[in-house]
Amino acid sequence: MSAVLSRPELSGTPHVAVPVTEQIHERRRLSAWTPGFWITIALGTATIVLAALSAGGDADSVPQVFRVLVVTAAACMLPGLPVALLLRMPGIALTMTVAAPLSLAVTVMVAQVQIVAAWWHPIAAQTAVAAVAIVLAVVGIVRTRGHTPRLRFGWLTAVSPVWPGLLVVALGLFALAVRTVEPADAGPTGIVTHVGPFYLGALAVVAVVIVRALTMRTIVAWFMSASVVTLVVVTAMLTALASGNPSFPTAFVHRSIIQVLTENGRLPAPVDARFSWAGFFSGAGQLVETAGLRDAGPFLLWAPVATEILMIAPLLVIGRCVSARPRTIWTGVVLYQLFNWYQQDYFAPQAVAALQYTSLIALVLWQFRASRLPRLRVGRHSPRRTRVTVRLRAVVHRTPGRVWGRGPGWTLAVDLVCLVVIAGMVVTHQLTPVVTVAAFGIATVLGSIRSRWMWLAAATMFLAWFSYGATDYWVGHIDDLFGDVGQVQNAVGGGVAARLGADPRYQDMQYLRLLTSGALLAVAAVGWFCIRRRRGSILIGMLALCPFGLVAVQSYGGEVVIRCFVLASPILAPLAAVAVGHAYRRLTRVGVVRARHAAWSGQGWRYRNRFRIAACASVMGIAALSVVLTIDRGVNTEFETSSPTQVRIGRAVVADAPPDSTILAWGPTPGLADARMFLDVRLGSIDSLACLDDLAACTARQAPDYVVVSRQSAAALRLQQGYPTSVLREQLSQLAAAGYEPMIDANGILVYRRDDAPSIEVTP
Amino acid sequence: MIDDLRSVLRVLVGWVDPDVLVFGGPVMFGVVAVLLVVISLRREATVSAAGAFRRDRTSRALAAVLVVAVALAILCTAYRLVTRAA
Repeated sequence: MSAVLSRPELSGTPHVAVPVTEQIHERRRLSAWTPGFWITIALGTATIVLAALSAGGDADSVPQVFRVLVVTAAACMLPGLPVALLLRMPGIALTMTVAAPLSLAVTVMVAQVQIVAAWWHPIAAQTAVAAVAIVLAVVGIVRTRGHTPRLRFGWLTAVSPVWPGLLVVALGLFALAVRTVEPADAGPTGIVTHVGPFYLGALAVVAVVIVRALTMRTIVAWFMSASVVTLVVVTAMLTALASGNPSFPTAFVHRSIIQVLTENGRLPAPVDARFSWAGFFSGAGQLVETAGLRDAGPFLLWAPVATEILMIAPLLVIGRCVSARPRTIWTGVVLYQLFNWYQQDYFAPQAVAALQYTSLIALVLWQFRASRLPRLRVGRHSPRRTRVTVRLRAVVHRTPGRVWGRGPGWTLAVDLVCLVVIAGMVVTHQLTPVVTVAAFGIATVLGSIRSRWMWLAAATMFLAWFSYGATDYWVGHIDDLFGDVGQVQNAVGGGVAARLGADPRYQDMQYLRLLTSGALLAVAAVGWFCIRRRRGSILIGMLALCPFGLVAVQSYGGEVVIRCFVLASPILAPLAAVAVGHAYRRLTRVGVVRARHAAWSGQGWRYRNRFRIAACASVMGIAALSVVLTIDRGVNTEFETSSPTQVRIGRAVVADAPPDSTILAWGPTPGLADARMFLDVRLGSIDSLACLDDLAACTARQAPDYVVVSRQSAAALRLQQGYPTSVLREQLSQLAAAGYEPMIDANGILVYRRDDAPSIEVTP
Repeated sequence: MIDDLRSVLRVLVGWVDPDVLVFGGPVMFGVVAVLLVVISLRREATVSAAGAFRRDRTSRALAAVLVVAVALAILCTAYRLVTRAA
């Protein structure tokens, strides 16, 4: 039986266009998920106890792992979880789509207000947030009395224990790979040529389990989630766990920024643009203080896994708007992870901002799918041109109805949630709010959002913060900002051509990265073609392309192309999943008559073989994409990875340098970061091609107190700029002749000091 | 480009007291925020649960006032940007 009252259209056709199943689905789920309230109370209580211990200086009595887990969970769920439950968002995915970005935004806003006002009381603030969440949870429990759902444990037995056991096997193989891999051995081809058989075995086992999870008679959400998380751990954590440090070295700089804020309780002098958008760092500083940690170091290593776990919920919601098939929806989540090579999920503001953006897009799409559209009556006998014009005008002027079963208060409350999330994003990141404004603008023009002024609210907040909150930044950079507008060629050139590098093998790997993103874009285009008649298809397509408009606005230091793909992938992946699902169904399609005939004549094996072939092809496809992801993520391993000793030495050089001294790094040196680099030590880098050609002479002209060269610097100069190691050796000997003498030479770090600069003692 | 923008702004708002423009920004942002709240509340009061294609006269008047307020906010912000930028 058809599940749709009438044919769904985007362009204001004269019928109610919400599927009947959707209406029933929404109405059945109106009662709140009460265990969530109890989880809120438990987490809030744990946070308050931890805050009390930290305030009393006894935080060390609790294991550090437990403290980090509690404050991370609090940042992601308090107070968003009880708010989402009180709003009765249907399903856990939508609940978490509201809860996580809202909680992060509240944490960011509360901390940022303290930092800007120079009134730093992070422990009290986090306690207040937890207390408010507990109160909301109690209200929720009181309001939902009599609606307590029965506890069901059927999901535990829905999957044979063999398959979760295989996930454990995969993690075991991965652990063995971590013990045997040496990231420092990586060369121009990255880490993939050094991963070894254990790692490849882990990828193969994960691929088998994912295909099994996707082809079960019914999709089991917990099993599917566990498979995706295992995939993330195996593909994103190899170099990090093998080296004992985060795989993206900028995380160390972020740790230092947080240290500056927690030690001073206010914004420092405007030495870095990131202090003008310090929301993420303020929020992280609040968590560091609440957990009684020395610095943000314990958050760095596992940040990519935490980010990707949080992304699952909005991806599921977007997937539900793209396709009604659970297999396709989950395939979208898997594809997102398999094509996510950009490494922007580390401990950074853009990771939080991307999650908030994706969640907002998911909410917009879900509300559009779950709401009624006004009826439009066009005379059947009117000229065709008139009918088209009337319909187009109607779409632009359309205000959609409310979500089924929800009143005006609920609609306004969801608007308020969106505004708080946008506010948190505006003080966290420079680029993402611009895309958010554009996305809401697109939804408004297509008549797909009830809050038609949301784009203006977002733009106003962005403009207000940019003008009054980020004054220190634009006062010195306004020419750069306006100079990039309309320079599409420069933005693309800086984001693509300038990043290809000089070493031929390294270039091949970079081309593979380009090919990967291009493939996702192409398959997503096919997927969009498959759903072009589905309600909201134009909106989905426009939102998928919306981030690419950034290239016309900013070059973002040559990173804008990557950021475009990062923000577009959450929609591109579900669209690609539609195309993949379509191909899979075509491969396994068996006509009913032919299948019956085959069964009667004992030829059924011929059709069963089709499923086996399709399953084998899927396993091989996922395994191959996992290998490609490992290649793409690990291309820069040679100059991005670092050992704990290197990080300790690098940090000590900055921390123990005399006040007002200058340090020049001859290339990327992971770990060369400390809070003092933003206070009284100037850390410089080689910033021109002329300097690269004659490093020693350029250094002598700048006359820094210390010069730092590392194994990673040499690798970056060789791979990205094409300078062989012999040139670096020659430059170092010239540096010695220019009055610099070696001070530290250990663990791949070489520190020179000027003759008259004091020596820094660092124990290797 | 900044110099061009300065010239345009000088023509547009050169006759206004600079202090008024500097302090007018936050005021106009506040006005925009209040107007957005009012418009949202009116939307839920006037637009039915099934949605609508047209808005009433008051809503259109509020939208016009909002556009003017946003334009003034942008003008004040632009003036502050180009006069303080290096």
